[in-house]
Amino acid sequence: MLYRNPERTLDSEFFWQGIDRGEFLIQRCDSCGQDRHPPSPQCAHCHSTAWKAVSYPTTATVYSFTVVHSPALSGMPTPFVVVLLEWPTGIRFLTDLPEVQPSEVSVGMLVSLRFVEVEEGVTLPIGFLDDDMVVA
Amino acid sequence: MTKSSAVAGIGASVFSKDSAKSELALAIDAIEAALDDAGMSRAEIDGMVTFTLDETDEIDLVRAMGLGDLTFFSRTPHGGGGSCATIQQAILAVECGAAHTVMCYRSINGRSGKRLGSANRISRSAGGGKAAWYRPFGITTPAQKVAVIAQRYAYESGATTEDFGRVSVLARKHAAVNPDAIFFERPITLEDHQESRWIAEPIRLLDCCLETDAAVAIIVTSSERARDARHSPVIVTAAAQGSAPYEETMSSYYRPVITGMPSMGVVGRQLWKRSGLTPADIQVVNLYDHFTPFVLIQLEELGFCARGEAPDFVRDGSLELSGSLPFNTNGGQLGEAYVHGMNGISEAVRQVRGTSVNQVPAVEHALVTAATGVPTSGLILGRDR
Repeated sequence: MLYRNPERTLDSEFFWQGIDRGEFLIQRCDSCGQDRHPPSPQCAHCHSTAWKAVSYPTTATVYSFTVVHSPALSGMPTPFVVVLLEWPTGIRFLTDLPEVQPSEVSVGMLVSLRFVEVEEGVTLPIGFLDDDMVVA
Repeated sequence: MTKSSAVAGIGASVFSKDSAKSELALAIDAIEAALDDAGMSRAEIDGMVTFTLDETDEIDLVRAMGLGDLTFFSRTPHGGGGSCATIQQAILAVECGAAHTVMCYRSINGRSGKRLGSANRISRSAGGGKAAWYRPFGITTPAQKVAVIAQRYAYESGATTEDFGRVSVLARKHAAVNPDAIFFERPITLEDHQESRWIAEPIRLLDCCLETDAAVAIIVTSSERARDARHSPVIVTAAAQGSAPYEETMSSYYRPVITGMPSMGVVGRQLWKRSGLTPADIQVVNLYDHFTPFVLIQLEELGFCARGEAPDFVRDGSLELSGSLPFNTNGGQLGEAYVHGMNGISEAVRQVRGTSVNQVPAVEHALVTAATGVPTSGLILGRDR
């Protein structure tokens, strides 16, 4: 509970509400159209504070990754894979790949997000390989 | 900045893994040692600078040590990124007259007390909702955060775990002859590095700095006053802080390019401009070495080698005592002690004085950096002329 429940703020509440509904939402500036993440009240490019949340595709490519060996966290047996995903718009998002072996991960591979209730009442966008290879 | 301020004294506590002392007591050890090194009286101290993270209050030191009035007290933020910034705060105070003699210090039971490398510490300190973008997915420690950037650096530059390991081997080689170092007489080989366990790939245990119980104190005063101190003054030739856009605390994953270190770039450009020097004018460096991949990126960001060429630069022996840019001659934080960068400043002072255990010949200028992956700071120290 301590680790997996994301702290929601007034700026990020829309994102987590989207996750709860099964939507991956990213902020888009109403003025210049630039997308941004993590959420922020103002567009760093044109300085507008007007924005909308747009629904993003849930498939992206691995920009970087790590395999975490230590220290172990409750509920996340080590080693486990964490990836930094990138969309063509430049948006990046970090998530874990619970069903992927460390030897399977590489920069440039495709990952799909699914909305997983990792703990009671805590839903997160978690990464899976595109071909749905699931380790039993 | 007019190069009219200098380091007059340096001091440290014993470096250990279990000090059995309060951080206040450790700080006192370091400050007494610095006063003795400078040959100065505690009555001269009228300024104090430490880290926002430091838990030893200035006023507690004043009471405990029988100090007098303080006219300047300030703290520097962002953990180890604030180390060189303490010296900058001090010279700004000295040069504008807010204080005459400033004690910069850091005291930390970093091993027996709160360990900065642990998940608990990070989860408590990560505020403002930013931790929501990594902690729920299993990233909780500095090593894990840095690993994501190191992996991308390896992908872009071709750097290998052996390239990271060479940094560690060199630091331990230098620590091995430093009696004050935690790893005195304990050098490692590249094979030892390769056999050390993964922490977060591509970072192994021996890519990570120590955790240490330690305090360091550094006295900054006017160059004029420092000329009457016990040692020759070590002039603060240039000092700078830097924070570039898109900075996050060790997880700057959202920049167009994540394999640079733009905040260190902000520091470097100021250091070169203010000093009028270039990388070729630096005889020795003390680069912040909490994680070895970030030493490689620093070398590139500061202009000591081109982008992507740090692995070759290190493999060619450039950072050896016999090389073009001797590195972390005290053993750094991989080998001597983890004092949030303050011991690197002390070693640069020794190099300019000519008193290091791994002394580099004819040092005119030494460059020191503060922590990377966070808003940071840096110094160029030089001989008095």
